[in-house]
Amino acid sequence: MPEFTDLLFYGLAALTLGFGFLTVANPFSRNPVTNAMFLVLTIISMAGLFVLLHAFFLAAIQVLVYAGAVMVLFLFVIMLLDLPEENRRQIKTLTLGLGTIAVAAIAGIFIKAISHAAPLAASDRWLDGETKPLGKILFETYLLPFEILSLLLLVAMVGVILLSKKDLK
Amino acid sequence: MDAHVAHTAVEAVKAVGDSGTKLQDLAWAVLFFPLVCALGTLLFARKDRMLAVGFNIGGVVLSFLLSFVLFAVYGGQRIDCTPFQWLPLEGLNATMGLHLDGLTTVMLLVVTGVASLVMIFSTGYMKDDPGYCRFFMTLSLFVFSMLGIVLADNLVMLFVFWELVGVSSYLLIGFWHEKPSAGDACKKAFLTNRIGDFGFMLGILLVWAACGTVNIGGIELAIAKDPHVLGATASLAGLLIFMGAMGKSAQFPLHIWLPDAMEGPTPVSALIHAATMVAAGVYMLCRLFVLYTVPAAWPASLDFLGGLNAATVISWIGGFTALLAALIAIQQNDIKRILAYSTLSQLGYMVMAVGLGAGLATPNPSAGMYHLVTHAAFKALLFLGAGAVIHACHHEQDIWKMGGLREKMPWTFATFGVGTLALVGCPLFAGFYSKDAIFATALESNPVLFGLAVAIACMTTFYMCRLVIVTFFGSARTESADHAHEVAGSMKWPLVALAVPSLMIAWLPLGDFLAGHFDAHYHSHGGDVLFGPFNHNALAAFFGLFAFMLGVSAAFAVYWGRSKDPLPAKLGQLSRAMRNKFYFDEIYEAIVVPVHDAAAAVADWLDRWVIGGLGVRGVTGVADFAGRALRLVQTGSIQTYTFLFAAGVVVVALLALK
Amino acid sequence: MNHSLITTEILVILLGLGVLLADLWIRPESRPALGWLAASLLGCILALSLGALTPHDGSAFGGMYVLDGLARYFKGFFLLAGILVILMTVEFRHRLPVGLSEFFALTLFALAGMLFAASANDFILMFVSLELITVTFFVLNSFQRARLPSLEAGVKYLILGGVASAFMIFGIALIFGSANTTNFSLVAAQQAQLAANPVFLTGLMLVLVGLGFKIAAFPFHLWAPDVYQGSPAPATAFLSVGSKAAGFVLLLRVLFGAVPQITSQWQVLLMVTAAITILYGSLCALPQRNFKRLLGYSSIANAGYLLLGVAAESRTGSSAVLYYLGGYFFTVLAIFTVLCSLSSTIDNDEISALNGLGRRSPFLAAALSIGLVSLAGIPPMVGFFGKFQLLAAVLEAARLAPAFYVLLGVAVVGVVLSLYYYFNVIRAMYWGDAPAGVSLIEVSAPARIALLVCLAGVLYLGIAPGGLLRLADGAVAGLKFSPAHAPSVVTAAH
Repeated sequence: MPEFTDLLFYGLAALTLGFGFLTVANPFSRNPVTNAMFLVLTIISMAGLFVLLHAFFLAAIQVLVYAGAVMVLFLFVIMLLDLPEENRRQIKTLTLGLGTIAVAAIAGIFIKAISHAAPLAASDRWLDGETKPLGKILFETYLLPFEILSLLLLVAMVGVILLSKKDLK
Repeated sequence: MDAHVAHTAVEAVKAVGDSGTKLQDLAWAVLFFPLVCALGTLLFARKDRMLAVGFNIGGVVLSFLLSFVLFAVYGGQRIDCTPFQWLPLEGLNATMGLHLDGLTTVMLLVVTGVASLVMIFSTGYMKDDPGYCRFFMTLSLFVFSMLGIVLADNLVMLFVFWELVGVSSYLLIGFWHEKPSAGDACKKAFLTNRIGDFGFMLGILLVWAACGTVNIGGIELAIAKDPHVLGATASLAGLLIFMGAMGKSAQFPLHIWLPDAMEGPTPVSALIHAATMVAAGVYMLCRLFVLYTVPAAWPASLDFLGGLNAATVISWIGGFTALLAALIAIQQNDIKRILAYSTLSQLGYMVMAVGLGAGLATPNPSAGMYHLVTHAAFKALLFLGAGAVIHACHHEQDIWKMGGLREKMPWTFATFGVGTLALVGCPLFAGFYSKDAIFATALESNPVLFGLAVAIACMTTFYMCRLVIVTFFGSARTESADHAHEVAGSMKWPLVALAVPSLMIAWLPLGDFLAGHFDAHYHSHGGDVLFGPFNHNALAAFFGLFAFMLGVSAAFAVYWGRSKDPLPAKLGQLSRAMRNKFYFDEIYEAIVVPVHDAAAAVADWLDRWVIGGLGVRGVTGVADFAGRALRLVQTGSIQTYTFLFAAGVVVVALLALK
Repeated sequence: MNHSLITTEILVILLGLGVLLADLWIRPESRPALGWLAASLLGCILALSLGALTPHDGSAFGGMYVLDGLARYFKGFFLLAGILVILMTVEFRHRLPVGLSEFFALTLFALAGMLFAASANDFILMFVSLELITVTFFVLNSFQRARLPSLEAGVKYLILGGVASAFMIFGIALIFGSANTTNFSLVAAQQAQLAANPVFLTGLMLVLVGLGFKIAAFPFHLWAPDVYQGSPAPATAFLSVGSKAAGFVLLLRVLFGAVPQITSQWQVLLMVTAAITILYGSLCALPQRNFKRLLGYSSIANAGYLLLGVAAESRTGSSAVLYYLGGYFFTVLAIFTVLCSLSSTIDNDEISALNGLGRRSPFLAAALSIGLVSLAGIPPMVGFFGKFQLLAAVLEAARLAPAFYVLLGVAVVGVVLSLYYYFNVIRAMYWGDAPAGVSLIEVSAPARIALLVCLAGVLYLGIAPGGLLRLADGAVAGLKFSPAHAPSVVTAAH
């Protein structure tokens, strides 16, 4: 008899996948706003998964930053562009089919790999949900990559300005 | 110079050598003088003709003089010059060193000597050419590369200079690059040579892997210690290395480039495509002769070849090339092409002699090398003579449009005559003795090839006499031949200078000297050098004499007093085939072009279908494909790429994780 | 902890920030001078980093960052590439209507990413530095935003790069999940158990997929021709030299630093990849009419040759990879510098646009010819010696696994094919008819300097390869190769 947390995990995982699929290929609506809202739902389901892993801080960040800030930005852009119906992306059956095949094949490989692996011992989980250990990892062990990421953000900013600004002198 | 004075001078120089400065390092100077001169011309004398001539001829003549000093001092001693640490890595111990011995010093003299004379000749021949300075510069570059091949003490360095020779030959064949035929010819030469060079490179790698060194002396030592050191790849390595010689020395089936290379200026043909570069293949076989003395061995997959020796294959390829080229030469009418096919034929001779030399009781390739030296002298003479004739007849090259040049160009006639007599093997002339050495080797090693060699000698005499009779005797058949007159001094004297060795080089004990280099226990067959052949192997010598007389009388019977070639009528189809070089160019074209087209088609198919739109064709009809393909290129192709990327992941995963 | 080890990287980043800020105050006309300044400061950093700046080897950040021979070799390589690319950009400025200074700054940031990649000894640091490189190239590739092909190149690189990164980070997650660490050395310590763990193997495979994308190896090469064709020439040059080399140094570190035992089981995979990559690149290059697309395919083929050295799984092979990259560096940069010099007079990248270049600018034509001849592997250029080294490594490996003879054959076929397409370009330059009414092409001073440096490198390294070879051989001393291999024949002969 599976435990309750296991049931929760399978439920949330299925929701994540389902919402994710509806984000990229929604058979009922071709409105980009609908897609964006499904992305919000995907992110929230993922936050649920983090909670199950006792990663409460990450779960909160996931909701606050992604579902909150980033998605609002997305929605603004979509509404500002206001694409007319005929310019919106058509989903081709062929593309969808090929995509499904690719995903299925890769999933098959994962399943095969995981089914042959010995399960991890519970003691291997060394990152518990507290904010403090997470901060220690980020600012001590992984300090260098963390700082490099700030440079990455700068590059992204410069890039966006360069590529989108009307006339740069 | 008085013999005593010469002796004292040599002793004095030796004393300098003993006193600490290493005299043998002069070889570096021999090698680099031409390069320095070429660079000097490039930097300072691109416009100044006098300066360019001074630089380049000075450099090569200086190299010649230094080579002579080295020869006089060291004779046949084996000496390594102070090496330059080229790749001081553990594993690949390739130092750049120079090696001097009997073989290399003789070759040094041949290269620098012929090059000096050809350059002097060119000052007259190229007088009106706008690329005058460039010409001399490229010639110097060639001499540098060629000397590098001669002096190199390891295979890597040999290969590098080998390629450099290819490049300078490419530049010289295409010297008149505004002529499309010259452009095609230099490309053909270059590409054909590359095929051979790939084999050569693989051969070098095999030898290196087996012996653990690329130093030629080291390889000789390794094989002397254990003849089976090359293991199962012994014969394969020998043949792969021979592929390099096949390209440079234009052996069947890579012979097609040499006749076309005559598109270059005639002095180039004399120096590169007659005397030196094409001989590099033969020289290299002699230098690496030790590889052909090992017992035959093949990898398991080629076991059916059994005891077939690399040397045997080489001798048959040489013999076949010689025969083929001689047959073609009989029915050519262009004076340079006759000489070109004659060169091919003689190169075949040399290669055959080297191959046969490996089959002797004491393996010795000196007959081929001996012929190389004499051939360098008289064939350069013949080409320069032909150049003089062409120059005098206002660039007419068809021998049937000449005639009667004997009285108008007496010097050219006399020297050309000496060259011809040397080539056809008239007793007392150089060619007789070197050919006899080949006959003697063949008779001892393989009687069938001996018969073939005699037959080819007969044909050689026939076509050369045909050339002389038609060009110089009779009466002028065209206006331009009628108005021909003797060439200027700068062109005349090099001819005379080359005529001397063509006649007299065999009066020196050169053959014995070379044979002694390969076989320390070699004994001269004694007696007078001039009658040596009859003492040594009388049967071979008589056959040589017989071939010479038969060829001369046949040529006089057929061509004396004719103004049109009677052979095509008599031989019919055969004559046509000979005139058309047995259709080799056409056959190659028929093979190469479809293969090339097929490769291009495959490539095009890959590019268009695999990249452009995999998976599209199966679903939609061919009719609306064009429109869809365009759209795919604009937006859809990223999806295709992504799909292929994911498919790639799956394939890699299947391979990696089983 | 020894944080001073990353001084070089910090200086480069500061230089980038400085350039970005300086642009606010300087006049637009003096932007090229900013490039000059940046290049010369980078030169100072290169000179310092060789000795005074970081005199001792060591590791920092808990073993995440290492400074060893391999890292030093590649850092020198990347810094020199950065200098030449900036000089090239100055030459290319006529085609960059906006943001010249930003182009310099982004080049410097990408350079910083490469410098970090050279020292990465941790999957996370590897991923982050690769991302820094990739994201910078998204921008650099689409820099000429008014040109549709440039935008298309940027978008293609963005999407495929995103896919590759996704695979890679997923792989890293699996590795972390099964090994409980992301440090290469700690992974190496427990590779005996990990070799039997399919989850770990899957993760490792996905990491290799991401690296395969960087080096444009089959089947992850699809982006290369399109991106090469569309991107501005300096960006393409940096992509083909810097980004590829970063991929290779990480490949070497992962395969022979973190998991040498598993690598020896995957030799067949490496061999197959190398062979197909060579053949694919060479075959597709044959019918090309666009020069930059041709270079894209040529870059795929060259990735294949480099993989030969990796597949050999020996010290000889790895040092051959380093040497070949060194030679490839000078050769490719020479070719792209010529392209940049031509950019002000010739407005497309077709091979036919090069017709008659031999008469219009003998210097550029000679430089381009030397570059192409070196790529084709003809002595005495460095390309020949590099191929020779790689083939020697293959031949050495063939004594243990005869399948390598097939690889040797494939390589030879690739070389023969490459002769054809490279010489096509040379033919166009010297035998093609120049369009009527064109003038001579002037070459500016920075381009002349960059070209002379590259040509000197191509010829010097080809004629006297000893120094670089020693350096390369010393640099790979820290890598571990599977004990399954007997000591090499050559060293045995010594």
